Amino acid sequence: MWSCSGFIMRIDYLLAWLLPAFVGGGFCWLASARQRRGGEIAASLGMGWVGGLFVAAFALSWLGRADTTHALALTWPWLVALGVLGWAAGIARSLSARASPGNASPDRGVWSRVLWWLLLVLILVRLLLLAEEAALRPLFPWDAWSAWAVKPKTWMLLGHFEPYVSMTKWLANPVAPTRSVATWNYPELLAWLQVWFASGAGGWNEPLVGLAWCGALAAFALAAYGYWRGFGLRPWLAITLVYLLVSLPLIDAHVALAGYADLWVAVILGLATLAWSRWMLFRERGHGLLAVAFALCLPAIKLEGAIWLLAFSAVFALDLLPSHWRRIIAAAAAAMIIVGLLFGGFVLPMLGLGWVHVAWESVTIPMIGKFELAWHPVGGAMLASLFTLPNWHLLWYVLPLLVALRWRALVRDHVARMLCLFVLLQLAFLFVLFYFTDAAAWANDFTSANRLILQIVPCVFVFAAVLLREAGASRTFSSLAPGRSRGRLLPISPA
Amino acid sequence: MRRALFVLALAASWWVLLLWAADVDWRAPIMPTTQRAFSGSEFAPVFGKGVARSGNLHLDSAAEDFSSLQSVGLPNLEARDFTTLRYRFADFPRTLELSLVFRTAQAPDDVQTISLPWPGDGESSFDLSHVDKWRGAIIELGFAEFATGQVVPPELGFRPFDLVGAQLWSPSWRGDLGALMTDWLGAWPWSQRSVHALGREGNSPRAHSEVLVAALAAAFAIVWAAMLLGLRGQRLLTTALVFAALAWIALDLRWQAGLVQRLLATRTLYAGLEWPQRARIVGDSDILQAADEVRQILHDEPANTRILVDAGSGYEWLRLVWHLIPLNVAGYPLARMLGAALPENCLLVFYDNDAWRSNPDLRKLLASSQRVTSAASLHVSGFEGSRVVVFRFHHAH
Repeated sequence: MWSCSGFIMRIDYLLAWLLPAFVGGGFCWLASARQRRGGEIAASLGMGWVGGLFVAAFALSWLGRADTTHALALTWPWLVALGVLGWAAGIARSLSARASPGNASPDRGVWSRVLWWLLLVLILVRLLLLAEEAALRPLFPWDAWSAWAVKPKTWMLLGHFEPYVSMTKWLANPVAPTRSVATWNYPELLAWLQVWFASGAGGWNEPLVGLAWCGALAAFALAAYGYWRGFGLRPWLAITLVYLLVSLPLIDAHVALAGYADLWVAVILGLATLAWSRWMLFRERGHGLLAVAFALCLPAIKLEGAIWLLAFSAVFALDLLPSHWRRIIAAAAAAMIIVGLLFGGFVLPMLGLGWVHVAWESVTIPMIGKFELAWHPVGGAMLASLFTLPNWHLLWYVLPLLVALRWRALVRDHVARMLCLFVLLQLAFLFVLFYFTDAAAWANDFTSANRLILQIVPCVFVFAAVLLREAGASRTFSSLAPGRSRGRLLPISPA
Repeated sequence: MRRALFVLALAASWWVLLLWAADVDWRAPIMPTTQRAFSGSEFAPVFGKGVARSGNLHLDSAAEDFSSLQSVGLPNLEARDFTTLRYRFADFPRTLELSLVFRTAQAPDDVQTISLPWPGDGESSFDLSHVDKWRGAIIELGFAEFATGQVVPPELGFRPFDLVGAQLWSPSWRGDLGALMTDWLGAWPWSQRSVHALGREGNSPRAHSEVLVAALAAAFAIVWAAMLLGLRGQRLLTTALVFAALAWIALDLRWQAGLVQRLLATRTLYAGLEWPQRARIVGDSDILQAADEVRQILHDEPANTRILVDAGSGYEWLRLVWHLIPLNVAGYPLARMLGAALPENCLLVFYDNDAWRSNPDLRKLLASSQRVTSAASLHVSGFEGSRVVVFRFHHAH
């Protein structure tokens, strides 16, 4: 029998899971209220859960500081009010909504449906396996207990918030109610997110907090499926892409061994890219705002989120320009960078990192330090990470194949080109980081390199989905049955 | 006809690929010409206790340090004549890691240890030809077992099991292919590396990458489809995606099987326990106990007292900090690195580290400091040898 407090704990923990979907779901629904597309419910629920969770974490960081144990109870009325507001606005706007023709094409072929159900089962089995692993073990991976969970554990066990400061400051004032850790200056959004679940669980409970990582992957999978359906992908193709993403071993490892921030960066960057793609495809203002909102959260999760935000801002701004201006502006920007480098470097404002100074010989990031730029031969380790170690299955083999297969779509489709540019910018950053800075050591010892690659993998999948947007649109598996025509129907010409 | 040729070429190329992956010596026979078989009962327990039973060696208990080792003496067996090890256990617990141990006549004091995947109940194989030290005359062969590092508390690792037996085979196709299967399908536990890069578990030489082999298998199919079936353009690219998908599924099935094995190991430790009990089951249970000891010593301290922790390794002090939360604790190595001045009355905790006694700088720093002990620690044996030493810092006058 459950005790009364145990029952309340279970209700609170359930609330910690459901409330974000309610709050965020309402606003995502509102974003699509004008024009409904295929997969709308999945997209709203998946994206809404993550968005709502971040709203809850932000709210908690204001309202829950004095009493972290009851932080959820202190916050939920505000969140419910916000959710009601979002849903009311969404429903009101959706009264004038119209279903978008041609974007909700279902699978009619038997084999397409069989494949869809089979892949759904595989995805669910994988998520259940990972969830059980996460739900059983105490926090395991190194950075989780040495960095990312130190603050939330402290705040939960103390029962209130205490600020983390630098070691010198902490020692200089020994009576101040402050704390210190090597990672004292890391962003705190993920810490508050952990407090949210811990508060729901009734105390610091590592497995129940760690399950949120599984939630993040499931939510992204749901959102991606919904968005990709909205882009016009056939259900079997959309779920195939979801399965491929969920099957990636390194992503699974980050869910099973919860605690690192990289999966959250990947999910947020992926959600921003999904919403941005829809904005580019259909110019729905709500999705443009969602894209910006998620992108702005990136530096609040992890310091390198600022780099992804910069790359995102660049391509977002480029897309907003009239087409004839794009090349001129891009060329001008490139020229300014080269001139800047020739004349001793230039500075870039980066949210969360400060003014970053870029020069030929070094990059100085105030929050992190100075990176000397010199060539580091890490090709072998990088190739092993991508192509031989079992981290990514065949992702990096298949991607070039897919680009070759859909080359024409890439050339003529503006959205695919912009996404391609975004992925190339991300890869360029990783290339510079690992081949030109001391971060080469992370590639050579097989530590951070794969985790940074993990952060961009959802974007790569969004790019792939957009490339496949019109693929299979005119055929189902049943139409590929022997004896059926696979070609265009041509008028019968007189002999 | 063309399709039959395609199937034939594909089967042949995949077979060759498999032989390449297994590093098969083309000149070797299909079956081994020479074998040395050792039943479990021929092994003697070196650490831990065991008895011979029905031809097996039944291990009842581990040694005091929770490890166990069984070995058999060999009559100067020439290493190059035997390149495949086959071994079998029964009821091998999922909480233990297995290692191969051997010594050579050339370096009898140098004990070589090679990590092996979890053996399960079936026959497993290992290719010794890539082990650098597997050279010269082998004089002793054995197996060592210890709790899975950083995952299983040492005291909970051991459960009784049987060593059924081991064999050494001369080079053969069957031996190499068996070793390849164990390498690709063997179950490895989670490790700290798992969130960085998978496939780098253990210290043993590994076979060719299954990802590369799967990609090459798909590539062969694409090449044969172009050459023998005459596929071109979109149809060829579509065929390529189909074979890539098949290869992906094969890799994923293998990965999922590994996930299931890892989950079963996790269940062995944690299933059915409430969170407060599970929180106590950690790979570094000794550090957790040290944290309990520190708490006991400091239980009357004001909540905001600064506590600085040092230990023999970075892992140890970081873990001690983690276990001591919510005390106001941080790592002393960070303060030392920054050259930060210590405040009066802060506490310095040394775990498994005698730097407070052996390091002249620290001795000078702690010259006016006062050792803090709990009432109980004065009565336990080894006051000086305690793994946890606490000082209240006072500036030198």
